[in-house]
Amino acid sequence: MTSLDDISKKRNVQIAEQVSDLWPEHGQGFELNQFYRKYYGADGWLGSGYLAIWTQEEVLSFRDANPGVYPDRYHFFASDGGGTQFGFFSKDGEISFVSAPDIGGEDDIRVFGSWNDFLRAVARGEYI
Amino acid sequence: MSPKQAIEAGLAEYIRKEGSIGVVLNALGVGSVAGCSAVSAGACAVLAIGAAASVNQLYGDVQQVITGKEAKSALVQALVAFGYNETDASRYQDYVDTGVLVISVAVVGGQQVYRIASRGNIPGLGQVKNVEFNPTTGQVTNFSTNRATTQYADGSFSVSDWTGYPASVPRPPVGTVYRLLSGTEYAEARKLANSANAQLRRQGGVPVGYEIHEIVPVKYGGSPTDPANKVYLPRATHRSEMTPWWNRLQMDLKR
Repeated sequence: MTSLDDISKKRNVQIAEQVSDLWPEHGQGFELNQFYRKYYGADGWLGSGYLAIWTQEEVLSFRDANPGVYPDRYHFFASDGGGTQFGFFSKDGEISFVSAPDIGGEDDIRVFGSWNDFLRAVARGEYI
Repeated sequence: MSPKQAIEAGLAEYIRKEGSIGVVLNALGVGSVAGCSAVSAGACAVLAIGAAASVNQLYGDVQQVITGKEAKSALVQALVAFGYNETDASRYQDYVDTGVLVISVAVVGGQQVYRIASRGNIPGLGQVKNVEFNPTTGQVTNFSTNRATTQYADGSFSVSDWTGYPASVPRPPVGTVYRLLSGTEYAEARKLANSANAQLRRQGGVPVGYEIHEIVPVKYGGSPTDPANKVYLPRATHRSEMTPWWNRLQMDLKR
């Protein structure tokens, strides 16, 4: 199974207790909240795909820089280091991970499903 | 006189008699008015009326045209919030002095907002209409820049106005004709671009923290694979400056 452990160049946070969850509404068990408690972003290969997980500051900054491109329910947190970004949305309490081109619209979004589905798709380069 | 006008007139008269907006606000159950310290007394009175109306659910909002330093500041703040850099945004201040850009202050849902509209087209901004900027949240809504483009019969177009384009990033060649890709065609082109980008990374030429940007974006019909169409940008430049510029153009074209 693909896991974040497979990504190189993760940057450890210095003082984990001081890290606030970006998405507290999804609980401490949410994979991204867990990630940001341990790591201050990451840039590296995951199988055949490149994955750049943004820092918390970048997540907020990039969101604010692109208003109205995608509906607010999509939360983007990573890219492939090129023209694709990765995010998630929540519906009826279930979180689904997605990919979307930087320049595009909601029709261009591809839904992966779970966190593991997302990691697998990146690792195989199966995203748009 | 409409009910709204009657309410405004009555409140204005009350404020005049009491001589203090604070007294009126207390009487109406409004604690304070955000932004009153930064605007003229006249605009503050309108804010007070709007806040009172909002708290008392009398009517939606009222607005008043503002000019001078406050209007220019609101304009620059709105443009910066929308993604312009401060230098570019400041260039449009003269249009406030000449009355081509009209700035109003209003209260919506108890919050102060600025509204921006233009009389006619402005180079780089086009016809500005229905723009609302909330200085508390920094949110800009209904913004339309209508950048100068020339449309051709087959749906392609050229771009002649590069206002706001990052100075550090190469522009597409002069004379480029663009076409917006969508659906399967765009998805297939993006797959090619992603594959080519991964290959470039594996060759080791892309520094960590940098991203690969297509100078003529794939969405706009640019080559997904030609290395001559690729440039490496710091992530912040790519995502906070370059991508927003092309996304704004896309939104303008869809209007």
